Amino acid sequence: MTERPALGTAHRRGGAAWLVALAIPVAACHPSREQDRAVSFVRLGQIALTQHACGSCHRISGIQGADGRVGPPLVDYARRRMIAGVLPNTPVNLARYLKAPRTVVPGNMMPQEALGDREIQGIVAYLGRH
Amino acid sequence: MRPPLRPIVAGWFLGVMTCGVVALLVAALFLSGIAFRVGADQPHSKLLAWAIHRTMLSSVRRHARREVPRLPLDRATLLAGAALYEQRCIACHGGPGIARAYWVSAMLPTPPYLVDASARWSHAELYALIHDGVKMTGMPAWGEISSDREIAQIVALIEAMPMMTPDQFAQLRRAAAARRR
Ligand code: HEC
Ligand code: HEC
Repeated sequence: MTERPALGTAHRRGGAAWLVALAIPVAACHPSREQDRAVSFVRLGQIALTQHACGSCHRISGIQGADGRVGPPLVDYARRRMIAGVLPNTPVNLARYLKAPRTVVPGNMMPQEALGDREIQGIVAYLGRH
Repeated sequence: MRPPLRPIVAGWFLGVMTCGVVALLVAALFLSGIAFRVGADQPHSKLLAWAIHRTMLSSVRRHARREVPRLPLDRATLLAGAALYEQRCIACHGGPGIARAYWVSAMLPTPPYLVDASARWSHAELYALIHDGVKMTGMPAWGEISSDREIAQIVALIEAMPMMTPDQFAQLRRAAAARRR
């Protein structure tokens, strides 16, 4: 058995500096996601709308590929008066609708995706701005 | 009289070498993981997302075969299609009124709902998408493990989806499940 030579501290510091140098550009190019409290609700909503595939049924401005024609377009939603024709359009009601669309309109095609509370707040914030 | 050849050749050679070295450096940046992070917890940049999607669209359009089987949208076909869809697709793609499995939103790209798919893709394109799958997305090449008839049954179900109410879809699922028992 041969003994492995211990890494000198200078070596280790060099390695750490390298790692930091690598991590900085990587972190800078990739704004962080969901759990990160530093991400704005609007950005969180934008990601949630993408990752929950809302665009396969709805037209939504600012979401890539969101050109679905199954449900109503969600553009300029802040000015909408009623949600699905049955609930006044307030942030609280919209959150309630997104949580369980079929309890609001039974037999509705809109599926009940598993949305977290922060995601729902994010979607409400996003739709309020776009 | 003749233009001096040697400096032109030398310049050309130097130019090619410079391009080569730059290309190697860029490749090294990617291969070493510095220029690209594969983690799926961050969305692609807008430009990359657009380029990937554009490539996928064009490739499917180009490689869709002209002659693919088409089955009538009758009850037997839809039942067979629903049974296959239930086993193989619903977790990732959901259905009319049916949500996808909860973990699917963590996929990048995330699988879309297919109620609108027949408006986006022709019959032949849908057949090709399902038969051949999509590289680097998680969409399997179902043709590897299915007969042409099975693929055609699944395509028929997807094409019938926008003509069904969610309740009719639920009934079809129940009938397909009962038949399997
Ligand atoms: C399978 C297709 C489908 C998917 C996926 C889908 N929806 Fe819907 N959505 C519908 C349909 C259909 C309606 C119309 C329901 C109604 O009016 O009763 C609707 C209605 C809505 C409404 C009310 C629209 C209005 O007119 O006031 C909102 C808001 C909404 N959806 C948001 C979303 C969000 C956010 C997502 C993603 C988490 C999503 N939808 C995913 C089909 C879908
Ligand atoms: C493991 C998850 C998974 C399973 C299971 C799966 N798919 Fe997919 N599918 C995907 C993903 C991810 C995409 C998105 C590809 C892209 O955007 O480039 C996709 C895309 C598609 C598309 C193109 C949709 C569009 O509008 O762009 C169709 C059609 C499709 N799948 C059909 C099926 C069928 C039919 C089955 C069952 C036989 C199935 N998929 C099973 C993950 C899956």
